[in-house]
Amino acid sequence: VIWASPAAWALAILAALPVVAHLWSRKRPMALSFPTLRFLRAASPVSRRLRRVQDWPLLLLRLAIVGVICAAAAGPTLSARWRQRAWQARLHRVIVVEAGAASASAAAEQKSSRNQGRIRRVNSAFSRSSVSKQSNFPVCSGNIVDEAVPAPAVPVASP
Amino acid sequence: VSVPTSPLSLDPALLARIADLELAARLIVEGARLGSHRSPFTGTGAEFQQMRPYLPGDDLKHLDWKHYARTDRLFTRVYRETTEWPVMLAIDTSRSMAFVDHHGMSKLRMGALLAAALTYLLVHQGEAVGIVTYPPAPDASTRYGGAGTSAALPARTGRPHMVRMLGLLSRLTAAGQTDLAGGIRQAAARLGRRGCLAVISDLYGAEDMHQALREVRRMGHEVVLFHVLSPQERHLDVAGDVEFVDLETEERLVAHTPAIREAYAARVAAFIAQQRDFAMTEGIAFVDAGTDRPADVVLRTFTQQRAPQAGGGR
Repeated sequence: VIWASPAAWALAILAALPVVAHLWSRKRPMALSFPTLRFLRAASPVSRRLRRVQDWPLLLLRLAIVGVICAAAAGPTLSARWRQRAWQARLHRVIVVEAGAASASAAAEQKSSRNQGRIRRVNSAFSRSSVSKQSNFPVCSGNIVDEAVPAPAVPVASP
Repeated sequence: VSVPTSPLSLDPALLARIADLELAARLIVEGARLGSHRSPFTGTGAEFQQMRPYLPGDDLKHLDWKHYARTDRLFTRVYRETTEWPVMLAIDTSRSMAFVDHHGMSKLRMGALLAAALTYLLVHQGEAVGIVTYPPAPDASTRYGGAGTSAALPARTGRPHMVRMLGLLSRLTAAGQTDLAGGIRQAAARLGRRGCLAVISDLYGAEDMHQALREVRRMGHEVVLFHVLSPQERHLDVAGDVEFVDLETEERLVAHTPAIREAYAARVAAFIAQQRDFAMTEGIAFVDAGTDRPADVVLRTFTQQRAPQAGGGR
């Protein structure tokens, strides 16, 4: 598991709250002076066992709730094999920009160069390795390409 | 023998509040209508003492029929018992007797009321009666019995002795741990020759008591057990989680009462049955003297239970 913000585990100190609440809310039974315990002693172990069973699950449930809240705040990501494989796999995105005569105008070239600069910046955010290895190529992800390189408005002359 | 509770029976809550023990004893005795009954502890007396108006419950064989024929009024002939048979009352004053029921009647108070009523009844019938309390009260040893002994008075007759007895009973406090066997042996030793021992106790610690009572029976004494229990002890009439504190040992035990109530009541019932069976086996009278029972009813139950034995026993 990879934690996005491990510092959030400091919230685990809140686990003390259920423990304190459990001890605080445990009512002390009414004291009663009684002539003899000889008949009570034989029958009481059953009741004491029942009392323990009733109390401990409640405390464990409260602690579990606090634990879940802390874990959620820490931002867990399950580092499974399939996910690691997906991260390690190279991502090739190829963008083909037409550089024919139709886009030979100076304005189009400037626009194209600006777009290529944007593409490089965006690409570096996606994959540093892919940018370094393919820096000579106009590389970008498909959706960004769609946004960054709109279809040329200039009519293309057929050869 | 079970006697239904009369609507005129004394209210235990009322008896618990009467400070004058002699008055309470007189109320109990009169409430039990024991005016012309033979003493529950002695045989038939022969000495005529007086005549008094007939009261319901009087033995018809003591009715003066000649007087009735002359005056058309019913009178009962009262005889004075001539056979002096000392009676010792052994009262358990351990801490367990300090338990108070919902009516405010403690087991010790119930025991003192019964002892006072028996004292009143016996003294007015010319019997010698004494008392032993155990375990000894902290300040009682030097006043009544000497060093190392319980608060005790020897068996005597007469009103001055009755006043001393009632005074001792009114000062009883619950303290110490149960020592039934010791108290029974001490009371039997004070009886000397053949007599009757009346034990008033909750019978906790009965294991030692059984052997002591067998010894007392072998000595030729008669024995009566007044078993004093409160209804809360019988049925565990408390709710929820309770931390029980032993009155004698101060040991603590937490229990969820709804879960153990049935098992507890069954064990108490078995304990009572065990004591009753022991008493029956040894020829001992066993009287249920619960704090929720009117004292006069307890006394009447006892006298009716004793009536057949007292007549033919000696």
